[in-house]
Amino acid sequence: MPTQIARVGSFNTISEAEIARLIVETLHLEIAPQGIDPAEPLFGDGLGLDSIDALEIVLSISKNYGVDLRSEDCAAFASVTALTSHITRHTTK
Amino acid sequence: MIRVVVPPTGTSSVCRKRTTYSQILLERSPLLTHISLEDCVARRNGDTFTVCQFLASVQDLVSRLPDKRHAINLCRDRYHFLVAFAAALLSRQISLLPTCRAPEVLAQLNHMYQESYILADHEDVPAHIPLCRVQNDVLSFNRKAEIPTIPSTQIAAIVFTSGSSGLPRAHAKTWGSLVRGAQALKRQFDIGEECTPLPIAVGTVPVQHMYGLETTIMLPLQCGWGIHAGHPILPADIREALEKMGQPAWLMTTPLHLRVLVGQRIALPGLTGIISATMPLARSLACEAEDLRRAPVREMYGCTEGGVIGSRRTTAAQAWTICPGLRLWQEGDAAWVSGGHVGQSLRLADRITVQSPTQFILHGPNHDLVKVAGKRTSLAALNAALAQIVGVVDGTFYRPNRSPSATARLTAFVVAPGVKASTILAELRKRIDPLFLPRPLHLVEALPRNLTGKLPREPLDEFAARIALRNKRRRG
Repeated sequence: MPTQIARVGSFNTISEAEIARLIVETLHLEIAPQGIDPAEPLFGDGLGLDSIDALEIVLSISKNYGVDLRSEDCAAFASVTALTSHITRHTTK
Repeated sequence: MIRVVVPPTGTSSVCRKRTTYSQILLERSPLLTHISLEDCVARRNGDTFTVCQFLASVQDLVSRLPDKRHAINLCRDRYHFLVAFAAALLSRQISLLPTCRAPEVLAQLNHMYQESYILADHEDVPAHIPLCRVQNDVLSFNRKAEIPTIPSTQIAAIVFTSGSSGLPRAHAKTWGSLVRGAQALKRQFDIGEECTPLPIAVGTVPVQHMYGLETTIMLPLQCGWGIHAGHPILPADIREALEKMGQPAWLMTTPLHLRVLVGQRIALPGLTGIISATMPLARSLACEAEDLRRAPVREMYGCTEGGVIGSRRTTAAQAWTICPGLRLWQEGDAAWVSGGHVGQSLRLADRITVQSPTQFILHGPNHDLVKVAGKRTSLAALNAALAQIVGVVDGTFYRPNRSPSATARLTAFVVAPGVKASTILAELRKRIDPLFLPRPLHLVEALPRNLTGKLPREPLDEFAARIALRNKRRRG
């Protein structure tokens, strides 16, 4: 089952730390969430995630925030900062 | 089924034998089985490509193909792939279908296969290999075109598996074996001619993978169906593709994609069939998918070397039904298959119990075999890559005993005093497919080897459980 992340604050204040923790727990990464640089690329050379990881993250975000990511939202996958801001934009309706 | 076969003429037994042999040599099968030239071959967004348009695009490309022997088909758009595949077939060229697009892999292919070039619809290809661009914007076409037929013995494609040494191994597929494989699938899934409008095959799997080729190219060609040109992976992308087409569709996917589809509970309008392959599908996931999508979930078992071997309706049966024409048998621990589209005897890499001439039980991969998302390697090959890294004293990859529907990632235990896990991972990344990278890699003081230096499974399982518990405590 995807990781359930304890929500911190309201919909408007999704923190980068919260998203970093979601990524670490969803993907069983052996690093502390604080160890992720929010500006670091998630895929490729940065954290080195791949397409299967992307699927897992998409599912986890859908479950936790009700946001359904698409391939054309690929800019959102650039970093923890980009992902946090994308989710924030799409949950504050 | 239109088949052009030369009638036998001989009368003596010797002549009859010769005739049979020449029959095989002369047997031809049509490129596609669509009834009308106005039938749909492919859909892209709102556009429809008919048989006429398709054949015109194929002829146009045939006239532009370089005079070479091997075409490395790297097209990303599934319709472009089909046009390129058909043009190569009609030019008697062999399509090379690598599952990996890394520049070194393509350079290696280009070196191994003399007279090879790339067929692609994008520019992301190594500059030193000749490139032929694929497009499908042919405006004029002949409304009285004839459907071409292709000799069954012609080698249509070469597909690849990763050998235990890490080097790719090539498997040649004749046009006849691909056609017979698709016909076997059609029978397995009870696909008749009666359903209208005919469905569109949508795939989350790449077309250069044997499963993708069988279900999103060969099956639609043999059923008179259309193919969806895209490669949607995320549930929201699949929904958009289905909405734009507005006609029945079958989804050719994997348990990994299906789990996300079910988890996100996104509505998929028009989905009438789901096929899953590449790794075992948990029955609970299949039940959820059927409840949610109201479409039967069928599972295929096969391998790159042989293609489809059997199938099952996951919610209804644990046993698999062998494809018609195939013979499956056991010799000790090994399972073998032959006949039909498989041809000569082939040893399977999975543990199988043959229950009856038509049914078998699949237990999973042999101990050493590792499968992640349709790619496979062996624990031995991964451990060899690990041992090559400077500073690694001892180490092993480990497959956790998770449910088959989990993402089935590997972990690794490594003894490397003074070396960081991130350094070892960076070195491994240069040597193995990223799908097999350990998640996580545990640095340990020693492995639970026995007196003979071996790593028996049971102590290793206990060791893995202890390490997992230790890490959980550390993370709090």
